[in-house]
This record gives sequence, structure tokens and C-alpha cells, in this order.
Amino acid sequence: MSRYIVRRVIGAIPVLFFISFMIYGILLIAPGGPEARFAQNPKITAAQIEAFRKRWGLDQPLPVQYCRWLGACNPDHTGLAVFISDQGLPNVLPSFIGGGDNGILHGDLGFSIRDGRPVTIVIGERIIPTVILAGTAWVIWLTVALLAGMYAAVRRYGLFDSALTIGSYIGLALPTFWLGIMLLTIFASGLKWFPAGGMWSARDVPIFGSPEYWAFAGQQPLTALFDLGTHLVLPVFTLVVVSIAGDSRFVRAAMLDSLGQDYVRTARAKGVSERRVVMKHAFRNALLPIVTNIGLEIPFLFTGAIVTETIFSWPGMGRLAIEATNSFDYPVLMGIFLIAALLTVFANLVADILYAIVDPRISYG
Amino acid sequence: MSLTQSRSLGLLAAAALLVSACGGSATPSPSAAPASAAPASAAPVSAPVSAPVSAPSPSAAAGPVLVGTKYQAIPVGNVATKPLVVAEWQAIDTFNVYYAQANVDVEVATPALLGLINTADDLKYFGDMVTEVPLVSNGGVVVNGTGMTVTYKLKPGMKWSDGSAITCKDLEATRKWIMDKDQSGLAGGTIGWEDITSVDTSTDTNCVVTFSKVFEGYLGLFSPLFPAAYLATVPVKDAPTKLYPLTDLKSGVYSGPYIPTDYKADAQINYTANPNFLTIHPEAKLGFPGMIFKFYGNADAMKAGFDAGEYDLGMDLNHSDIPSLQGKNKVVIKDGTSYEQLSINNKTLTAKFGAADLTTIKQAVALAINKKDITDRVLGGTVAPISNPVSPQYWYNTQVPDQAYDPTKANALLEAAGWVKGADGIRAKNGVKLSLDFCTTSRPYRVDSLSVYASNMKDIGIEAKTTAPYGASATIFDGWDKVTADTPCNLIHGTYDVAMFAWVSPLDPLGAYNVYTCGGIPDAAPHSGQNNTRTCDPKVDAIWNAVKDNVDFAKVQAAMADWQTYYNQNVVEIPLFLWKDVYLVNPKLQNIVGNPTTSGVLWNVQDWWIQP
Repeated sequence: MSRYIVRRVIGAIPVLFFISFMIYGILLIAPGGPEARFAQNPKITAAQIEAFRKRWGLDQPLPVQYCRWLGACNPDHTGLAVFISDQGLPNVLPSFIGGGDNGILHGDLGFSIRDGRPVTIVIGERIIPTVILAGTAWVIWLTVALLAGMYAAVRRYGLFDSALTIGSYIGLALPTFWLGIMLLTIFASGLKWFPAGGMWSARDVPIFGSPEYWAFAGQQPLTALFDLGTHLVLPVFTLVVVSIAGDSRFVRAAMLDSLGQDYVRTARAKGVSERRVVMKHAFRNALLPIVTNIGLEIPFLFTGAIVTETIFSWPGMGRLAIEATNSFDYPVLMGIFLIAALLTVFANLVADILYAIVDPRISYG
Repeated sequence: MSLTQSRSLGLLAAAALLVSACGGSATPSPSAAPASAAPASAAPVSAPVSAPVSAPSPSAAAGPVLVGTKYQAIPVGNVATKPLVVAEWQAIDTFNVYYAQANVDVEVATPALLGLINTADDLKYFGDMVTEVPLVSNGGVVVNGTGMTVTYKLKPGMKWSDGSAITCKDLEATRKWIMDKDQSGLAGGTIGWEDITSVDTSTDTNCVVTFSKVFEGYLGLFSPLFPAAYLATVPVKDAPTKLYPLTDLKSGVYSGPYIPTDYKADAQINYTANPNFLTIHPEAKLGFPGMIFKFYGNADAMKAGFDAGEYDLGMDLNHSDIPSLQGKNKVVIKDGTSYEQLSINNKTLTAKFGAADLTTIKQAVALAINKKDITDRVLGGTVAPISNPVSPQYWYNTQVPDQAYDPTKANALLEAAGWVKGADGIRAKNGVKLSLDFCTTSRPYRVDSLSVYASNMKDIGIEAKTTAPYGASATIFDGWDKVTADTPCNLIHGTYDVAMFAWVSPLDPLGAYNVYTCGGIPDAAPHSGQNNTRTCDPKVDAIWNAVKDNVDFAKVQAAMADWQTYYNQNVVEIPLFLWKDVYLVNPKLQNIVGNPTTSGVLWNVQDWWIQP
């Protein structure tokens, strides 16, 4: 197993390079750029725009820009010296052995063109809010989807199954933005049960993640938790409603497929209890496709839900992605995409490992 | 490019501010600009009780009265224990006003940094950091041949938030910082600054600034003023990321009533009261221990947040939001300075129908557009039709005849010009059909308006082909390089006949220089002019040059009167209605008076307080 994992990790490296190159190319080839902010502003001269492009390295050919982002090239040098670090050795080497300290190879994601902050900070401060929101929603919808899907499969064509089918279609058809706005209108604006946006009450609670916040949470943990919880209700409900439908249908289909297998019929013929047939024989075998599906959902926990986070003003990765896209913030976008790619590769690996755990017939030995 | 042309490129004030501010779904209106004289940077302001302003001088009576605001704050009657919460629904990119490309960037800096001169809600200039507004009439401005000197008299004893003195050296440092060779990305460019040859720093408070040319926009310079000592700590090339950095706003040095302490992207900025603000405005008494800027992800969430009592003031709403605000307590509606218009493209109309009939056709179209149908039926009476894009609040506004709805007269004009109706009801001349392409953005009321225009045009025998692009295909405001030259309905490429959108009429008239002069036609590199209608007439250029080269505001006013008459008679554009600035306000919040300039509603934030 460990050899398999090592092999997969090594195999992922060129995949990630390829993905990063493709995404970088697509981003930069797309029309527009960070300097689009100056469009229709005649106070900005062509020389100033050029200075802006030069400052961010946007005046360089695409391969050079990618090379700098990667960390193989030194942005402070020109000509062939671009490959050499300030210490005199190839820039691609780590700085502690004479290489450079820029680019992702050196753990440097660069600076946001939009607001000038380091990308690691920009992305870092969004991860926890997104994990809290997406993680809460994911756990809820996964639990409900598993239970509902299983029950619907066992009681096929029953009242619950029919209700779940109808509910699923409604859930799948509901546009997230519409549902979110309706929830805001009813529960925040109308009934005033829940806050309309954000992650904390600005007037009463310090900024989430700040030292003041943690001090506050330490002194008044229930207040802090309750405040966070009330802000979570509407966005989590939105995510659960629109996501539960797909997963419950998936579980139901996998279970139905499993329940129709010969070994299930055999188990029943042998007099095994229905509960044991469902849980041990059918569900266990239905887990393979479900695990695959769950694995593919893991990146969502970190990359966030763009529409939901925007509607509910949640300061997470999804909202960051849309803001970065609107302002052509290449370094931030590359950071987000790279994390998403990494997580997807990682999630696939985890899913493959889980195969072996849930299905003894599978071995990577 | 001539020197005049290159200078004029800069004259459009803060256009991009509103372009981006209004980007996204809610306000896609490029704005020709809040203007240099209407401080593009907006600074907080004023004394709480009596107007902190120089009174109009006797000699000013001959020309426009630019000073002498009647604003009077209700004295602070309560100091709250919790901070003031102000809401926005757009995100910020910078805290440095000089790099601000969006209105929201200016808004967040307004409570923290002052300019020398500011604009009150009644659009009168007043000294925020100076004892009087320098004018020719009070000797503050002296014209010497082709150049001039402006004397900014700083209030004595003023201190920055770090306790250091505010002196003429700060003016010199701000100028040098802007003109530094390593500077890039200044939203306001260097217009005006580049004409300054010296700043006399021999005294601390009598700052004599010498200009090599007469520059009408001097009132808007030094807005805001930056501290020399703080500027010296950050290399200019690093300024976009390290001067007033969002990662550490505490490290900045400020002058306004509230100074920032913490920032969380897309969520919140915290401010605390600036004790040294009292050295600038000794009469001030802050009604809050601090303030919070809360950022929502969209306008709908912000509106819902108001009902939930999450903030005291919600900003960045306009007339199109009014129907959705019914029943909210309370909604403050003020006249804005953005105007909705039908922009008529001289280039395409001339190509289609010839230059001889251009004005006739434009006049006929103007007469046939039923503006009241748009304002009453499409917009529910939230706005009123206009014939002059210059806000009636502006000192240079002139009465012009109404562009009355008169399809009979429009028909007669076209008939007289030889445009004859065919069997299909469409007029033609020499085999050319009178057909116009109308287009707009994806804003619902604009899309709805297109059918009104089509009907109006049909009444006078003009075929109107209407296009309302949706979502990503709405390329009307896209820059020169972002779309191809043949992209339909793009302003900068001039690929439209008639386009509906909004623009800002600037308080400093100079802000519109590049919108109407020949040099502002964006067809030539660097394609940055805003003369989308391709208006090019030596008479017009002469009028605008008279505006540009004068600091005698009576003469500027006269030139602007000529311009408004020309605009009206020649149908340069068809102005439809003025936008409204709409705010959601806690009914207990005092002294919210609005401000249509870029000073914005926060211009008097130090006077705000909450009734217990």
C-alpha cells in the first residue's frame, strides 16, 4: 500500500505541473487583464499603464511569467541570468542551498495584484471560514443523503421514495442564488430570525480570526458559538438543500444496484435479518461509488461555494475566487486553482485508498 | 500628441472611480468624473455647528458663489458606547485614495484622511485643513502671465494621528510622491501636479504653491494630504502595496476623525476615534468611539441586513433600488449627479446618413423620445426627465430650453430634410433607410426602455433595432484591448448608433473636458479619451479651452453656459434623468445630509451621532 501511495504521489507531480501550466496559460490568454481597471480612465497615461504592467511582470512573455510564478526564474535578473538566484546558483534550488526564494517551488505564491497583500495571507484567511461553512453543510447533507438514499432504496416506490424523488428534483432545479435571496428575504429581512450576512455580528463580536476574537471566544465561548451558529444557518441550509438532492439520488441508485445483486438474494434466502442484509451486504457493496463521489466533494470544502458565499457575504474562498476573477488577479487565482488541483489529486488518492478499506477484494500490494 | 492634448487627457476626473464602483450588477455606469475640484478623494469635514467655511467674499458676488455653505450640524447630543456601523456591498482594493479605482475605495478612506479643501452637501467648497478657500477674489490665487500661485493657509496647530505637525512640508512631500518616477497606477494621473514648479516650505502654514500654467482644478489637489514623514518610510515603487497597506492599516498615519485599526477582506474594517482630529477641528465632538465598515456580498443582502438592524447606514444604492425599499425605516433619497443618457454616435450616423443631416436627425430623435414614459412608466416616477445633464445644484448650471416630447415637430424636421416615409412607414432618402441601432446594458430598466424607444422611433418613421446584451456579452464599457474593433455596442470603439447608459456630471466642469473635445476621441492611441459620441467641433474645443485656462470662475461659468446651450441645441446627447443617491439610515442617526460629489455621504461623519 505504501509503495502504491508513493507511486501515486510521484505521479501527481507532473500532473500538477501540467495543470498549473494549462491554467496559467488560459488565464493569461483570456482577454483583459489587471490593467483593465484603467480602461476609460484618461487620467492614466499609456506610460503609467506600462509601468504598472512592468511592476507586475505582465510585460513579459507568457513562458517567462510562468517561470517566475513557478520560481525557476529570478524576476530581478534579465537575459540568461534570469535563471540564476541572487546567491549565484540556479534559482530553482531552495534558498538555503543558494537558490531563490520566489515562486511556488519556494513556497511563495506571490502578491495579490488587487490589494497588494501576500497571496498566502489572502488565501489563508479564507480557508477556515470556508471549511466551517462547507464542512458543516457537507457533514449534514452527506449524513441526510446517506440515510435518505438508503431508506428510499429499501422502500423503493414507497411514499418516502416518491417524496424524496420529488424533493430531489426540486432541490436540483432550485437556483442557489434564488433560494439564498428567498431565505434572506423571509428569515433575515422579514422574520428577523437570522442575520443577513457575514460570519459574525460586527457590532458585538470582534473580527473573526483576530486575536481579539479568540480572546472573546475564550471569555464567552457560548456567545461566540451561538453568534457563529446563527450566521451559519441560512447559508448551510442553502447548500444542504441544493446539494442533498444529487447525493441522495446517487446513494439510492448505488443501493438499488446493490440490493438487486445475487449475494443479497442469497443472504435473504439464508435467513439473514433484513437489517444485516441492508447494512452489511448491500450498503457495504454500494459504498464504492459513494466513496468515489465523496472523494470528489472534498476539494469543495476548501474551494468554497461561490454563489452561496457571495449571497450570504461569507468571507470565504468562493467569494475570493469571484473577486479575484473580476479583477484579473492572476496570482490569487493561480493560488486557488493550484490548491483545488492539489486537493482533487489528494481526494482521488484518498478515495482509492478507501476502496481497499471498504472492499477487501481490492488490493494495491 | 500636443502638450495641450496630453494635458487634456488627464482632465477627466475620477471617471474610473465610478466605473469600477458601479461595476458588477448594480451600477454599470462609467462616469466622467467626480472631478478634481470636487475632491476625487473625499475627505471628512466640517465643523459640527456653524459652517467651517470662509464666507463668500464681496468680490465673489460678481461671479459664482463657490463658498459659504449653509450646512449646520445638529450638535452631538449623545456619545454612543458602540461603534457606528456603515454598510457597503462592494469590496475594496486599496485604502490609498490616489490608487482608488472604485468609489468604495474612496469611501473607506474618507473618515481617515482629510484634504485641504472639501465640498459640503450644498456643493460649496470649504477649508478642511486650510483657513480659507484660496480664490482670485480673496487673493489666494494670483495669476502671473501664463502661470499662477495658490496660497494654501493651513490651520495652525494641526497634528497627524501620530502626533507630528501638519505643515507645508506635507504638501511638498505629497507632490513629490505623486510625481516620483517610480510612481505607477495613480487613478487621478498627474494632471495639475505636473504644473507645480515649487511649494514654498519656508513657513509651516503659509504654503505658496507655484504653477507654471493656469490650472482651474487646483481646488481638488492635495485631497487627501499625505504626511511627509510617513511617505518617507516607504519607497515609492512599493507604495501600492506598502503605503497604507491593507495588511497593516494601523501602520498608516492619518488626519480624519476615525482611523483604521483592522481589516478583514470582503468583511469588515474597524476604525477608532483619532484624538488628534481635534487639532484640526477643535469644535468637533465625535459621537462614536469608533466605526465599522461592513461589507456585504451583494445589495440584496445589505438591504436585508438593514431590516435585521445590522448597521446604521447603507450606501451605494440608487433610484432603481427605491421600489425594493418600500416600507423600510428610513430611506433617504437625494439628488445625485449621475445622469442617464442616450449617447448618439456621430461617427456611425455620419457614415450612414451623411454629415449634412446629422444634426437634423439627432434633433428629430430627441424630440421623439418620450422621456416621461421612461421616468414614469419604466421607473415608476422615482426620477424626473431632464434636458440638461449638468446638475441644477452646480454653480455653473444654466437654464436651457426643454427637450419637449414633440413627435409632430420631429416628423416635420425629417420631412423638410427630405426623409420620406415609404410603404413600410420607414423614412428613406436617396435609397438609404433611416434605421438606427439602439443598445444598452443588461440593467432591467434599460432593457425595458428599449421598447419605448422603438415605439417612439416608429412614430416618426425611424426604424429602431434594439439590442440588450446579457451577462458576459454586455461589452458596452469594455476597454479598447478587451474587445475587438467590430464588437457591437462598445463605447470606446464607437460601434453603436444610440446607447443608453449613465455618466457623471462633475462638480469641477473641467472633469468633462475630454468627453466633448476632439482630443478626447478614443480612436487614437492610447485610446483613453471618453468622447464616445465623437463630438468634434472647433467651437466646442474653444469653449472648453476657455474653461480649462481660467481661474476666474465667472469666466468659467460663462463658458459653461455657452457649452450647455450648444449641447442642448445640437443634441450632443439626449439626457434622460438624474440618478438618485439612496441611503438606508437608522432613524436615530443624526446629521446624515448626503453629498452628491465624490466627497460622498461620509463627508461629515464626524458630526454623526445616535439619539439614545
